[in-house]
Amino acid sequence: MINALAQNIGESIVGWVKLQLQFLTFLRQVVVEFMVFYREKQVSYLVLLRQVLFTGYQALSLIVLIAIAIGGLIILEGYTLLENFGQSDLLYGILVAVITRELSSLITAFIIIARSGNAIATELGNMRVNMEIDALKSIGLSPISYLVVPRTIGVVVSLLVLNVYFNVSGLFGGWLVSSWFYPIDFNVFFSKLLAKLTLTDIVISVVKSLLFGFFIAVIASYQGLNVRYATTEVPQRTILAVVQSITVVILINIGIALLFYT
Amino acid sequence: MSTVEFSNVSFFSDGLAIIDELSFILPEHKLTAILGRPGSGKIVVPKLIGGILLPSKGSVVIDGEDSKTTDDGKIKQIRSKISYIFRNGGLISNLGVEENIRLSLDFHCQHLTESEKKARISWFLKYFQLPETILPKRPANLTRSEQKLVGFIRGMIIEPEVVLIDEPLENCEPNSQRLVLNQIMENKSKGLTQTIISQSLEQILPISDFILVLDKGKIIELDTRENILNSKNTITHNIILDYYMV
Repeated sequence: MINALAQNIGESIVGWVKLQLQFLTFLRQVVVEFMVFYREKQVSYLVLLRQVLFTGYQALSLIVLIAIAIGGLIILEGYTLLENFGQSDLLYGILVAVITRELSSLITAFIIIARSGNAIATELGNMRVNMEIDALKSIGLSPISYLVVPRTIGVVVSLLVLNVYFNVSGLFGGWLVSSWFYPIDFNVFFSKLLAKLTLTDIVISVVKSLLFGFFIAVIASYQGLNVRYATTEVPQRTILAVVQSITVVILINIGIALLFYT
Repeated sequence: MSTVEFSNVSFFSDGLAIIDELSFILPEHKLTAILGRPGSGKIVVPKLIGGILLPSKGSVVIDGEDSKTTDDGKIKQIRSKISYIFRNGGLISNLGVEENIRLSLDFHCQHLTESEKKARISWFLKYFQLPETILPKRPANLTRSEQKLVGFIRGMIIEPEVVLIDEPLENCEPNSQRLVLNQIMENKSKGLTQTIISQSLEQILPISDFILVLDKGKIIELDTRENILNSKNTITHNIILDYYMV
């Protein structure tokens, strides 16, 4: 019985390592195709534009709405609490720490996982079942170069831009709510806020966006392209894409926080 | 000139050998029909030539180049000579008809000017009796027959030397079948190398030059149509009988 258990554990570990190696091979292929993207741009820039339109432009209103709400909530909750201790000026630091350092890239990433990661895995999975991937291969177009790379670039660019919008809207939302309940001059609010904002905060936010966007798109594409025979595999792969993307995003976020803020 | 040579080619799927140690040279400038029962590997052979699948063992050599090459330039060069025409058209569902056709045209015919490309698309639309108004439509808005014909246009528009056709007459209404058969005959007269997998043997057999008979992943025979039809091989005989009994 112990032998059987040990064998099961051993097989699970070997299986897990194989899957990771398979993903790393895919990752390497994506990076290599990134380098030669310009060569295939004649046929794949359309995919890139569509991805930016779907991931970036169509998610804009949702991102702005959530950012304004979160910025407003932080001010509302924080001001009420900190005012009791006579520390209401700490609110600017909290706003920068919560919105710029953490939530802007994290929430943007989660929204993109829910909208685009999901959509990419589903679309590629269905393309696989309908033999559309085979059609691309028969033409000589690499599915990674034609489908994955433009989608990855599209998601990275969109996440970066949406992150900027989230920051601006979140901070603006903070001022909007504060001026409603506790009127503060626009210039005073933003000058105090900018005094707390450092270059490191901005750089980290940008780095996070780049990494999050890259991994969300690559994981979703990997899962989509791994559908093999039936449409019933598509939702299973989509769920895997979402779960793995969320996990990877959180791990990267923790890693960056440990690297820069400890 | 495009030579296609299989050297000890095996293809495994989920650990099972679908194709087992196949070695043959595809008859050049001829139409070869591939016959076999389900599971014989007859679908895998053209997919290996068309670059959709890569051999698990052995090599498929096209014009002296191994299909496993990772050189982008060589892959493009090989693929520009070969067209695979899918049984369902193989159209990309989120692209319009024109974009689907241009997928291969833009990739392989970069030497053509925009007006030459447009003229070529128009010529093929006329040939297959499709209206110009079909160009912006998505595949979902086409009949199966139209999808098939657009798949043919996408394959033929790059003027390939080797044409691999999976079930050319399936899902086609009578007029489309006639157009497809005309195209196949025209390819024959131009001396293109063609392989066809089809259940409609009564229409394909009379126009075939060679027949490749496969069973359980192995070659039973590859010979001229006359020799295969007069073959004393029991497996070949039974396979042909199976087709006619459908």
